[in-house]
Amino acid sequence: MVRFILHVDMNSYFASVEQQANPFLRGKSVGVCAYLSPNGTIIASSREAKAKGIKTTCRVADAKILDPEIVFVENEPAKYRTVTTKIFSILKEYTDNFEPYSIDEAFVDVTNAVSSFEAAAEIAEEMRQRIFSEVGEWLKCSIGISWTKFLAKFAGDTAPKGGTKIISPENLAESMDCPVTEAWGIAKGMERRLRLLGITTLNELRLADPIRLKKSLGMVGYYFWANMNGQEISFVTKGATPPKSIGHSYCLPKQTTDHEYLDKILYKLCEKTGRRLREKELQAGRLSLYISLRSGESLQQSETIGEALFTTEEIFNFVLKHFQAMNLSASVRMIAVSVSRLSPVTGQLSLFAKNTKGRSVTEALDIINDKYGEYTVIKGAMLGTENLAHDRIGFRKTISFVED
Amino acid sequence: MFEKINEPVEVMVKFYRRKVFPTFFRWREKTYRVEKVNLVHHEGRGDDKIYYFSVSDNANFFRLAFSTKDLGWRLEELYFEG
Repeated sequence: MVRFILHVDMNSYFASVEQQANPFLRGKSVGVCAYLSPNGTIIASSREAKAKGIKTTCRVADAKILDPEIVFVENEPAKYRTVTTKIFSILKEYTDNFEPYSIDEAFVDVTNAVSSFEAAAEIAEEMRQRIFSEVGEWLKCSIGISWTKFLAKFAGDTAPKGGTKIISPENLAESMDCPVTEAWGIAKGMERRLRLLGITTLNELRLADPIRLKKSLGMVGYYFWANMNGQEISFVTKGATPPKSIGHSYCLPKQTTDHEYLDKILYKLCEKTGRRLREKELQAGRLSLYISLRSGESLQQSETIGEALFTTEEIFNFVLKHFQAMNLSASVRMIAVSVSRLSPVTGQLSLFAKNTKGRSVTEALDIINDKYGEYTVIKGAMLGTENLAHDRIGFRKTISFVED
Repeated sequence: MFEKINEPVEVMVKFYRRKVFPTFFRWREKTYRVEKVNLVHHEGRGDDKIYYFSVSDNANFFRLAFSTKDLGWRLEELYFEG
């Protein structure tokens, strides 16, 4: 059965939302930043900024050189989440086979509603018009249409900004006439490996021998071949897929090796990670710590824990142990903490877990902070971190929406 | 140019199709007419829910915030050209 899958991708999303909110920013270079300091990084740039070469990950100071008139705006996750909720509620009206992929991308399987790619394109246009009239006239989206998720996303990624692109069996070969790095999931490393096999374009990958690909690249080689040939590997799921990991990172405004300062930030990152873990009623079996130094060097440690992690203290104690064992040969530039191997919290946890008292205190603190606002009650270890590591929004797969 | 204000204001609103639209507000003894509501978003702060109205007149952008807890309005931010 032929499926009709839409991949909806909002263009220059965070910057467009800022321009939607403030019409005086329209037509100007806008950089949405995690932090407004010169070393801050642009996490989204407007169409106008992109035209001047100001791209995501560009530093604030560098962007100012490229366009002295650029307006910087600090990112505001609540604003983007609200707008995403509005957009996704429109998309969900067309099908229950709706899968949010990130804060600004979603898959919509409209197979039950249409019987041709042309009809799917009409739905795409209607969605675009409704976003325009019901959410905001400055919000544009590219929509890719095909019969698998991979091809729909590939079509969306290569569609003109604000336009629709259909990849059907008839134009598959024509659509794949491009370098392998154009495809979702193929980065520079894989490009090199494919080149060793004599494959430089997506068409060559599509026509390659799948057995040879699997032998050389493992299962991923077969998946590439299947994706290029329109064989579905993962169907559109109903609703967001559960997270595989939860974590927070922070680029330090003060780069230092001072443990008194760094430990506080580490604790706050653990608290933010723990809060999200508990909010989702999950516990973790593994944690990772990543430190980036000013020298360019990076340090990384991961540990699988026998007993599930739930409280901030539990996470922090393990993270701190690894952090103290690290040799900080230069000032710390960035810290990232994450937990993975997530599983639902069961009722057995409080019966058999060792740290039942600590867990009860944590749950009580969470209830207070839920009611009176984040950080109403904090541990002493976090004192002085009020203006550090604010709420930020990730580039990818972090999906957290509030249903109206 | 952005300017943080964060001062209480008086706001007149209209209700239309189950939505709220600020129409006028009074700040520092001057009345401003809202020409357009560009975006509305909200944020939870504990058990308070704040609604933010990004509005504009012909020369300025304003961000109005309404707290559902104390039912008060504040002008949080102003942007003007120049």
